[in-house]
Amino acid sequence: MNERWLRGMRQIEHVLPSDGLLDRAKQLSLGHPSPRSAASWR
Amino acid sequence: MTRVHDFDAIYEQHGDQLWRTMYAFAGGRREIADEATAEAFARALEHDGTIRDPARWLYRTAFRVATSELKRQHAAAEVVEQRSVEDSYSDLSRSLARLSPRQRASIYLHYIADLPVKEVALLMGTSVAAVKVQLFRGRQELRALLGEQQEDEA
Repeated sequence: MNERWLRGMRQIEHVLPSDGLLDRAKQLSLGHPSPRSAASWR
Repeated sequence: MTRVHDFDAIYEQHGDQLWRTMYAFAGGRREIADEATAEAFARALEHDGTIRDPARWLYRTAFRVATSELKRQHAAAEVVEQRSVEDSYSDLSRSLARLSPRQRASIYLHYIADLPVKEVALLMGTSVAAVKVQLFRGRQELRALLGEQQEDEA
């Protein structure tokens, strides 16, 4: 593989997931949309 | 309620990599990676007792959610993709922009997360041959892209 674009792809390891995703999943599983999900539906 | 699986521990072990796979698949669209990851865990919590291999189940569910979200937003996809990756990661943006979603995910899982092709196929719910094709075509696309860039820079 070409090192140049692999370096670009490797930057993905520095991108951090958003906070609170598991809590959001737990709310969703209980049938309670999280504030963020609810906002996206409007 | 007694749970079969410990999803806090599973999130600790697999959450970041699952999210980054969705982030690559979605071309750097954070909101889709968030949605796919949270929705996959929510569905896993609901189906706890019926799941034999939580990691594979979560990946396949997250791919389905992300695929459906990408289709829903298809009209605006190309424009958003170019702008969605965080500004400080311009090299990542260039690397992601040219590939298809499944090429991006398979390349991330195989070359960056360092998983064998067989495991990539299991997580993506496809065959080893299909993953090899995605990796081959992805490499070809990137080779072509780099060739174009070198001509531009000359």
